[in-house]
Amino acid sequence: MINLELAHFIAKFYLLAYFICFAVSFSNKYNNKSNLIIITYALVFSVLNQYIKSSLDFYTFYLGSAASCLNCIFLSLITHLSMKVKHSKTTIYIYIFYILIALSYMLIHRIRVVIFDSDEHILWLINTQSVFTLTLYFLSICVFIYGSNILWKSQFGRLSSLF
Amino acid sequence: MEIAIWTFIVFILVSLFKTLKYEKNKAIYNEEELIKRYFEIKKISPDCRVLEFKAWEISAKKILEQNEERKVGNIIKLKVFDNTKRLF
Repeated sequence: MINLELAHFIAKFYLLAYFICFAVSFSNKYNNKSNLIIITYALVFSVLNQYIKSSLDFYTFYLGSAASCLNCIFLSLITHLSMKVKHSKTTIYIYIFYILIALSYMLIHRIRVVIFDSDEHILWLINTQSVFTLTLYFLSICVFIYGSNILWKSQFGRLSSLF
Repeated sequence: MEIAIWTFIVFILVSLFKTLKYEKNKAIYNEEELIKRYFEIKKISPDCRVLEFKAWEISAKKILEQNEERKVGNIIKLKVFDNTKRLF
């Protein structure tokens, strides 16, 4: 796996990025509603999943993390239907990213538990999987920023008068 | 535990495809686009916009009809026990 200190740093960076995305799209008047819904769930579950993962053992760790990743999609589907908000294109891209992450988790679970029953032989695979998920999370942050419809002049226009 | 998580994952994926299909067919979600198009056509000069208005009307009617068709199509018809002809 990746060095733990580096992973913690990346996780903190992503959490901050999620929070900034949420704040910007919440304050924006012309925001994308469906994008705001999925940002809030991503922000909530990025914290909540840590508690879920700590309660899992060796045989259900990767499968549980896949399920907790898809949880975000499930709850956002329910809110979309209840609030009668149509899915925009950006949310569907994020769904695809999250499903890909969950698929990679499921693949690792299948190989680790059923075939090898240990971590030693497949450390390289776990490494590549963690890099894959981190890049996909980064891409999802990029899509969040694109979907929040930021108009730089209306959001940060007052800053330009200072300089 | 493991089986429960697998069923949960499958359930989520099925519900995702179901909702996306539902949104595509439901008229409520096309309302916004129709209103936008209506105001676009209104800006055109009155001599030219007649044809476009007719096309807009047809598309609006089509969506409503599709919605009703689906509601009727959901009823299961059993030919053996079908006694509706005798009543009328």
